[in-house]
Amino acid sequence: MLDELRAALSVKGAEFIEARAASVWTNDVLIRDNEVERVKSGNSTAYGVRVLVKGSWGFAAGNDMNRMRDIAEAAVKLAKAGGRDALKTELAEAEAKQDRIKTKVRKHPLDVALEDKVKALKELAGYGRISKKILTVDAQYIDAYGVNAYVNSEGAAIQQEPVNAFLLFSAYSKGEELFRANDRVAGHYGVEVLEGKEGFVENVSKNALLLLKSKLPPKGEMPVVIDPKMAGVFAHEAIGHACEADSVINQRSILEKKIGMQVGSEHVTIIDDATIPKFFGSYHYDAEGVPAQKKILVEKGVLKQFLHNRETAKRLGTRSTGNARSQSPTEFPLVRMSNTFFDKGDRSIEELLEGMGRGVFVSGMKGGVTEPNTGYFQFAAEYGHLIENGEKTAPLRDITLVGNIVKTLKNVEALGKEWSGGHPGFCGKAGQSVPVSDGGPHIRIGKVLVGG
Amino acid sequence: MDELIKYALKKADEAEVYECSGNALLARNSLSKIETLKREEEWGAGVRVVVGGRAGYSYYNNPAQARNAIDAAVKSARLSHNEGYSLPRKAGYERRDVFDKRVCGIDEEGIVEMLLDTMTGVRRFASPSQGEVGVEVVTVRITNSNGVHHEEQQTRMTAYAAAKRKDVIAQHWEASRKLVENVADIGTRAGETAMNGVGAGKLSHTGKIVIDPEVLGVLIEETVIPAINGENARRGKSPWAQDIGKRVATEKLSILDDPTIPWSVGTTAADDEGVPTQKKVLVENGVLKQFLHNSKSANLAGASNTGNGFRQGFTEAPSISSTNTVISATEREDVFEGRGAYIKELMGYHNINGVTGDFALDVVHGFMFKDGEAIKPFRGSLLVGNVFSIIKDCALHEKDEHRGDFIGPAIAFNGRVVSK
Repeated sequence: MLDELRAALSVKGAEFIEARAASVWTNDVLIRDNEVERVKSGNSTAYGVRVLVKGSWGFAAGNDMNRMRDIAEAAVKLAKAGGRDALKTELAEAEAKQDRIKTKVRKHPLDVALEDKVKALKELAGYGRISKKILTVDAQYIDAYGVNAYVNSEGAAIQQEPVNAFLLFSAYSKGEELFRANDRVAGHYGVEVLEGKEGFVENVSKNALLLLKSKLPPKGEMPVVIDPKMAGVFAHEAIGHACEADSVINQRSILEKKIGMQVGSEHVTIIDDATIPKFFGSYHYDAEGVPAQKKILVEKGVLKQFLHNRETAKRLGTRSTGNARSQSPTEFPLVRMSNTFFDKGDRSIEELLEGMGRGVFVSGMKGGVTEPNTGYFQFAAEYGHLIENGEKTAPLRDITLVGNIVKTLKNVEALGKEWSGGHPGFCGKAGQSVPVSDGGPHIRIGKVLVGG
Repeated sequence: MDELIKYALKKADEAEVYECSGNALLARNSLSKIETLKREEEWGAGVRVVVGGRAGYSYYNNPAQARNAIDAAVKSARLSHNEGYSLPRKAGYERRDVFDKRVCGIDEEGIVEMLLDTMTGVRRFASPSQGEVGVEVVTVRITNSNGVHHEEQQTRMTAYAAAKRKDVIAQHWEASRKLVENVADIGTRAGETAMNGVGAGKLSHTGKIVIDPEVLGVLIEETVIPAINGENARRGKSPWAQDIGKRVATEKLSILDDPTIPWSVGTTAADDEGVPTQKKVLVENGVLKQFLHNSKSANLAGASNTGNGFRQGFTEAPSISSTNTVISATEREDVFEGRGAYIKELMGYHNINGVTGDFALDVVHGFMFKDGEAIKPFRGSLLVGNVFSIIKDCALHEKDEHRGDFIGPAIAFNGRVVSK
């Protein structure tokens, strides 16, 4: 694949050329109720060439590897079309790495027959049918493996052989209303992702049953304890996006000009780390061939740094943090997060709840939105519990947390000592989604607006 | 392609090949500079075979992999549940307005010029924040062993502008299968909304609420469209599962799925299974009439196939999708009469509970109005309500708007906006 990509580097008229390609094989199994609803296997290959001509980007993509040189020429033509209205770009220096990396997993998807994957998933789905009130369950297994490569005109040449696996499980419960609970496991795994997940599946169904007994939450400002999943969403949505240097440069981040300033309480430390083995947001090299790194974004409440690709790093006078990522080689690389999380604290859950009076314990994640330019956020939890006199009582549903991120981070009072991370998800930005994960401990926040 | 089908029939009872090839050009600005210029060409194929009533799926985009894909699909079919499935039969197609050669004619310089035009439009009232102009030409070809053969060449153009004035960012967009000629107007409308939003305060209001057609379109897409999905209905996951023949909306209102509207982005002569598309009344004068189906869900539900089997790309199996959604009214009025709160833009739509219809969404742009005149802007407030309740008791505006694949009016109802 590296040799095929190198054909792009011979195109004339550009001061910088890079080419990326990936060929991915997938197997996808969906179980609905007790039946094998769908099995799908396939392969796709795609590539993209990005060039700089007098500081203007041109980007072209295709999937016929024989047209590599034509695609590279199309990129040069585009770069020239931008002319004087194009943003002028220079890249921060980066070492031209040459490397070959193979992901090691315990059970490579190629070594396990498709029928065995189907059988294992079907058995696993059975553990979700724990009650007659569970109307239906969906279980999905996907594995993806193959090869990807990166070359550039500075001499970088990297080939990687990634392996990923996903397990998704949903349960629907029905009483007077219909409720859905779901969870997933995903990361740099092989077929072993299906092993020992009986408790995971049962737990999703238990949550679906819990929703049947749930009530709407009280509304208004109150203390809350958020679980590691919701904590991860705060880290990712609220701080992570505002730390993306392209948003900062484009005046879309509330954290612009705030490096070195207090943006949260002294308990708050937030990290983006692309190097954690197995985690869904991890990688070895980013989409510009820069090695993955661990970055402390906020330390004891103080904003330390932003996330960069080579372009934003040059603009802000620093080095790339290895956060250039794209959905596929056919998409323009953007500044993206990897695994983003709160560092842990020192309290037990009992200590977090102690003396809270009336509040809400918030669990799981259903969706969230943030406005990086104002700091406004709105997060929906999957379920939760009322807290009365420091104890979890009635189950709740449709809990929404609303507020301003900096104000809210300043209201963080204490963090739990148990940490959970690697909660997988796909992060969307400018129409591209990339694999990420988030995490954190349980966190007590003194005051948040609870809606629903 | 016939050769591939012949190869498949050595191992399978039926076979289908869906081929999609496309060429796209896109320009994007950030603040006042062009940030991205991109061209993409793509070709890919999705394969489906049927073995003893079981369907199996595969895909490829390297022609050398074609036979491997057939083999993989056969293997997949053998592992799947026997649904007594059979591929769609041969059919005739109507010709639809989906291809505008002016869109194909746009080159690198042309798209740059159009993007600059949107920015010029924005500058009348604000400054450019972000924007995008994209054009694409796609050819979809479906062939199956039951005699289905359909090919359609489609064009599509999208233009989007986001404008910033002080701390207000507003946007406007259009999408069509034909050339969007007025790209500067898109920028102007975004700029105007941003300018009018300056100085917006929070609002608490109980009483008349009017929502913009675009807001209505998204609320319908998040709740009503899943509710009329035939597969959701069959599996009991639709709140309307048992409601055929029952009243689900005000009698003033009908909901249609209409793939025939000239140049609309959801318009097509056939779905991605090669089934002719057709105009359907889903809710007629408030009464639920039918669900949307593809070949698989129609087979399982014993219903007729409505031609709504679409793939989200060649790698995906066909699922059920709407084409163009139309809200039509038998009785209309000027909903801007009197005093009320007009909701122009909301955010966080994924926080809508698609099953119950409940929502509490943040108002990005809203205006208090009196007798058709905007009095003052507001934001930082939540619109709280339930989509299924709103459509049971609402008034429909005199005029429709066409935005992407949605056509409908602004609607008015009694509701509440709460200050955060």
